[in-house]
Amino acid sequence: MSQSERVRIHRLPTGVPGLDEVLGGGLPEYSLNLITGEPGAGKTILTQQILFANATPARPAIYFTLAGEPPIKILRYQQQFSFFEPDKVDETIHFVSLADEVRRGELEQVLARIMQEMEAIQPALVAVDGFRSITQMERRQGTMDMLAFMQELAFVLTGWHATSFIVMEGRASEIAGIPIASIADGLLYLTQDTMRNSIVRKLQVVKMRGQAQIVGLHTFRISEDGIRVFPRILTRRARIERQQPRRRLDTGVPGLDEIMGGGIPLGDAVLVAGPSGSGKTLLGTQFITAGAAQGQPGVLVIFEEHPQEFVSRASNMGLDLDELTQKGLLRILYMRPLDLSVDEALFAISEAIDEVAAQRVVIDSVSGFELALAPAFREDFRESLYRLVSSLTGAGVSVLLTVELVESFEGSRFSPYLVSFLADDLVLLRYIEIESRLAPVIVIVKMRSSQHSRAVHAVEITHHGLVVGEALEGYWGILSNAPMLRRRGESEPGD
Amino acid sequence: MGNSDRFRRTGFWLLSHQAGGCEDAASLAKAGARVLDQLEQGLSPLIGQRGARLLLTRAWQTARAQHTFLGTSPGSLEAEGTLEELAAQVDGLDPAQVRDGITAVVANALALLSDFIGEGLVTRQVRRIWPELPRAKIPTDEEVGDESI
Repeated sequence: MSQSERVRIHRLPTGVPGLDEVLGGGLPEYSLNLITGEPGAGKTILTQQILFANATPARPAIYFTLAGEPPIKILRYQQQFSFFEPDKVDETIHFVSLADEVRRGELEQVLARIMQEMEAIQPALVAVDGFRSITQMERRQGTMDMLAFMQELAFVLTGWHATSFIVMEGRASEIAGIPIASIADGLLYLTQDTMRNSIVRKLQVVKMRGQAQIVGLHTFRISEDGIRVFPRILTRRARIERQQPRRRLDTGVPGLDEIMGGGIPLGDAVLVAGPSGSGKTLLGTQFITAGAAQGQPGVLVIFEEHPQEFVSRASNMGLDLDELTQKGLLRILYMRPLDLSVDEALFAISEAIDEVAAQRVVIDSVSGFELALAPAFREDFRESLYRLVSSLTGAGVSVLLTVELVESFEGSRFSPYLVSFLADDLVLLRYIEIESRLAPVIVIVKMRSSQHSRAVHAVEITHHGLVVGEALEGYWGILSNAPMLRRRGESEPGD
Repeated sequence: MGNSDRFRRTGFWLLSHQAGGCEDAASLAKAGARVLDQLEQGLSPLIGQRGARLLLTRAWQTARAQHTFLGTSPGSLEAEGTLEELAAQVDGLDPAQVRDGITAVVANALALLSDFIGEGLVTRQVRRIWPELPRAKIPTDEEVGDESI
């Protein structure tokens, strides 16, 4: 069959952010879709959101409810969502209760009423909610059986050229055995699980005939705007060819660019590791403001500190983040802690980056990021973060991540979040003891394709930010936390 | 103007419209029965016939506190034929009293519905059931201005 002979399936936008992408481009027009899940999973909200997005006077919709939740309750609660447009009620979306027909126990009557309303309203979209009650209803003897009813309903909805939705409560294992699941063209399964103190909502497109959906479980959130789906796989950013030698970015920290061999290579991921209070956040903030000063927009992703406090502390160092935000050169993204999904967090970061066309991104900190996630997502954290960082650096965005270093008198080690594999470059901030005083130092552990300093340098936290000083010459055992002053002619132990 | 006043004006207009100029108590009662029947039928798609009838029963029972003649009806509206029987029971009563009582039932029903789905959607439902109802007879806040009934 030639390309021109094939039927072109028109796809309807769902009006649910993120869902069209997961579905593979929207809902196939005239498809019969089963929307299923446990109570409270968001089935009715999802269906309503799709209807309100698509129903027009020329393409009206009917929302049938069988039993359980009557339309009046749906109207009561759904009007709390921003997608609910009261003007569409009874004009383009018609609500019809079939509870009386169901109660009489005659499937023929249910079907007849559905057909009667469809003939009267001529809908382009039809939803039948509360389908579970049909499968459980006690039918009068000699009346239509369930399989015949489902098949007949599928024929009616398809024959009418309506894009239709059957909304049915049930677990995945229960749904699999119900004939409508095999008749349906699309099957969406919604779950809501409690993980410790967090609620995790996920959506799975079990099938969607005729198009390539993104398989797997996608997290979603219900807010006053309805449902937003966070596709499991971020849209791939266009990769750019790296020029050699690469342009280097000014870090904004006096003395740091020099010891790095000229600054951070464009499109690198830099990991700044150090104990609490060693200046990681300050370094990241200086990196962002230095970029903004050169017209390079940036995104600061913070997890541990409220933006107001963050901005205020930066202001004390002479870094005016408010001004940069107002100029569109900075977006500060504060992630609400404790119940984020990885996909939701990555989506928000990605969106913020697009919003300001960021060239520099600071994630402060990786440890805070992981803690902000619902426990269920922590296992996937490193892999997901790696995907995000690779996607950004591949597109030429330079990323600076901070990570907490656990400091002890025996030495330092990375926190359990072993994330150094994420980075092209590794900068280590430390405290050492010199003459009974704690002194911050910095060392460039790794910087790809760079002639960087390997010396340990003093670093000072001033009123204007971090300043890198001279290499600490004349000491040995610096990284042991207790360096010894090398006397003239003395060599290190073991030499 | 409060919701109850708006819904009372609506009920008043619907009753007068159904009565078609007849002002005696029995005609008003028959017209009232038709209005309540239309309301019940109109709300059935939203709450089912049984739900609509229960809503009207509650509206009726609330109105009965002030309009005692409504109490003469046997049982609740759940009993078939109650509305039809009303006409026979009001024979000889003051027409103004009957008009006020039935208007209160309609207004109460709309107010109960409004508690559930909000005034905006109730107004839409009323206009769907009685498209002939002039907009000014169930005005929204913006439309208030025409005080004539």
